Amino acid sequence: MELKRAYEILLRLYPADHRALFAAEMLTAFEEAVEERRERGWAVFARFALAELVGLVIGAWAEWGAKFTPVACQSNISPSAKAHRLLLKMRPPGVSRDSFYKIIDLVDESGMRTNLHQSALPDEVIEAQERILFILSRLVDAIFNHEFEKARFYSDQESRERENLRLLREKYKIDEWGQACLSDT
Amino acid sequence: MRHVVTQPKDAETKPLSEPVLLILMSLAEEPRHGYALIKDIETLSNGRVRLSTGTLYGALRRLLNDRWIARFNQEDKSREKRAYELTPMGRRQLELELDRMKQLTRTATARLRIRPV
Repeated sequence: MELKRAYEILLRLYPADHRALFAAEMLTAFEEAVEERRERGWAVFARFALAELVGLVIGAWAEWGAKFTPVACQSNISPSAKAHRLLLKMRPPGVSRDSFYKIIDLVDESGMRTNLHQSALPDEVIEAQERILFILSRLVDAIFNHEFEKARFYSDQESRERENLRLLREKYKIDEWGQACLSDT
Repeated sequence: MRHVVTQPKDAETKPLSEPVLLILMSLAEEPRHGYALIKDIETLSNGRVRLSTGTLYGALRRLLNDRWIARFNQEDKSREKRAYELTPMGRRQLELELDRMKQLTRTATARLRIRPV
């Protein structure tokens, strides 16, 4: 089933700890929902499938954002228009601007966007994160267009960028939670 | 390097987002797993809110971190279907939110009575 395959690929966008905790559950809940939505007709099913896939991408973005933003630092961080603009650019083809913005608004309401501000991190690290997000948006495009070969290519590229990000974190002595600014000294 | 994970000072007074409020409301009745939560939230909101799994599990992760919910101890501990339950702290947050909403409703109702449209 292509939809399940797309879902499994997009699940790989989540941080490893989130995947370890929730991936199996998410997939089960998704499969149960697929069964139920399929019975409600094609239009309902298509809307559901789109919302699920876009929801996964935004969810993964929010989880990475939460990882890179130390909670104790958030009060000192001004709102980042840059992060928001980047999120807006991730609109997949075939998704209307209105629907996509509506989903982003839902994310905002649930307080996720506040976690995306990361001005406390070095520029190099922020750029690496942005490159990953850019590749993720291409990956989503490929999946939406059923170009799974291309999706695999972007998935490999993303793994390389993540490795690069890991090295940068080592260089700047930032742990995977992005909490360098909380050192004792 | 010291890891400090503290709640914002105003965490308790901040209004809850709609997905979080609906998740807490759903779990206040009984422990539920992911898909049961999605279905119940759809019912609670009269079909208006249909959480995607991405949104649901993002919110569940934060609620687990805040200890407002916990994994429910069930006999079937398979990774595919785990249930969640409300903790006493989560129940308190839900009560606080309901008090806040009641107070707002009372004030709004009183003002509407003063100036009928």
